[in-house]
Formats: sequence, C-alpha cells, structure tokens
Amino acid sequence: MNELRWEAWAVMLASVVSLIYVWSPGPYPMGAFTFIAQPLFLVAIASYAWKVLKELRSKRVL
Amino acid sequence: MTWLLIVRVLGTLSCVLAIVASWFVARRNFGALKESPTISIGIATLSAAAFWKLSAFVAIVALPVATIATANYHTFVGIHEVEACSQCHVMRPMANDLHDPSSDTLAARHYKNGYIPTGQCYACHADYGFSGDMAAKMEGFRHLARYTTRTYEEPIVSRTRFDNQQCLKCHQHKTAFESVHVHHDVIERLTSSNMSCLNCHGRSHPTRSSRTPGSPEYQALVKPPVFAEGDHE
Repeated sequence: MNELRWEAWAVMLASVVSLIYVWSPGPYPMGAFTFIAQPLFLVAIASYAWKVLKELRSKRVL
Repeated sequence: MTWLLIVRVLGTLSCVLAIVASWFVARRNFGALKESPTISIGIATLSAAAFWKLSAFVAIVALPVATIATANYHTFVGIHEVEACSQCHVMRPMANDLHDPSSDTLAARHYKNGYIPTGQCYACHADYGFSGDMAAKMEGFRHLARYTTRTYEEPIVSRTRFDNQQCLKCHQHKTAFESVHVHHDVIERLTSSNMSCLNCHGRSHPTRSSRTPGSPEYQALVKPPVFAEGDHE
C-alpha cells in the first residue's frame, strides 16, 4: 500500500475542527465542520479507498 | 439533555481516537512493513502489514464516519432549540420577540399561550430538519455560508414562500379552524400556499424596519435572548 500520510493529516485536522463543533455548536464551528471538516473526511476516505483498490488490482485480487 | 451528553462523549471519543490513530498511521512507512515482525493483540497474532492496514482503515474510515454521524447531531437535531437558532445574531430579533409578552406577533402569541411547549422555531420551520426536503437543506447550507462569511445584509429577508402546511399540520381539521367559514372558502389556496395565513392572522415576526440597524427597536431586538428552562427540549 502507498503511504497514507496526507490522508492521516487531513483526518487529524478535520477531527480537531469536529471536536470544537461537538463542544461548542455555534454558527462558526458549524460552518467550519460543514464546509471544511466533512469535505476533508470525505476526500481522505475517497483517497484511501482508491489506494486500497489500486493495491488489490495490482495483486490481482480484483 | 441526555442525548447531548451522549453526543459529546461519543464525539470526543471518536475525534481523540481518530487524531491518535491518524498520528501513528501518518508516521508509518507501509512499504517497509514486510520485514517487520508479527504483532500480538490479546489472543490474535497479525503480521505488521495486516495490523497497520487495519489501523489505517479504523483511523481514516471508521472513526471519521463515527465523527460525522455524531457531530451532525447538532446540525440536524440541535437546531430544534430556539437557543440554537438565536446563536446567529440576525435571528435574535425573532427569539427576543418570541419571548416578549407584550408582542402581538403570531410567533409571540403561540409562545405566550403555550401552544408550542418546546422547539418553537422548528415547530413552524420544520423543513430544515432531517425530515425536510433537499431544497430546504440547500437553503440551510446557503444561510450558513452567507452568515459565516458575513456576506449578508440586515434585515434578512426570506427568499422562499412559506409552506402553509407548517400551519395546517396543527390547525387543519381542528374545531377552531373548521368552525371559521372563510377557511372553507380558501382552503385550496391555503393548502397550495397560494395564499398566506398571515393575510388574516398578522405578521409572524418583527417587521423589517424594526430589524434594520439604526432603527429605535434594533438594539433591544438584537440583545442576547434569555431562555427559560422550559424552552429546552
């Protein structure tokens, strides 16, 4: 599997934003969670899935 | 209140675990794992490659999904409370007017007569919630984007036509509603929202002029609202 460095950093950043939103659900934390954290999570998950798929194909599992 | 505590505990757990697990995944060199020894966890023994691939799945997929699910509680359920709506200062005039016993707006009359015991904003603006349609969700995201980027002007003005079903879901088929003959004459126009209930029943919230910065009522309307214990669900 390729390195998952930037995906892990994206998850860390998004988790910090989410943690702030969980404890202080005001409009600005909500905006940061909705428009920054959630897209970061989704991009990280999509990139992870793409790398797993590539590895499975390279090993002829799929 | 119990649900809020559960969300906070679960949300904190998933966020902290995601940060810790991602930290270790970010430092891992997956290419060099083949030479690493096996890892023993309780009764299971895994190769280092299998262990770290499972850890990566937990850190980058499972925990973020759990975080999204728990944090969205505030987005879809927390907004049921008036306190949540009035955190945006442009909504404070509506919340202050709601609690004003001398106000004769439709919202204030519903509140002081106890027609809607909790979640007063959401009771009439239910489109925003989880059961609302996609158009309402997109409108909610637009409001959030405009507010957080400060690209709005006061007084705020609704772009959409109010759906009378939000009134009729409580009032239609009730004796008080059915006993008024004029309701029968206009019921088709009311159900299709081609005629507003406000035409006969007065304005729902403070006027635009009173919500305009610089008006005599503005400062009183935008002060932080005080909430009673009964306002919370």
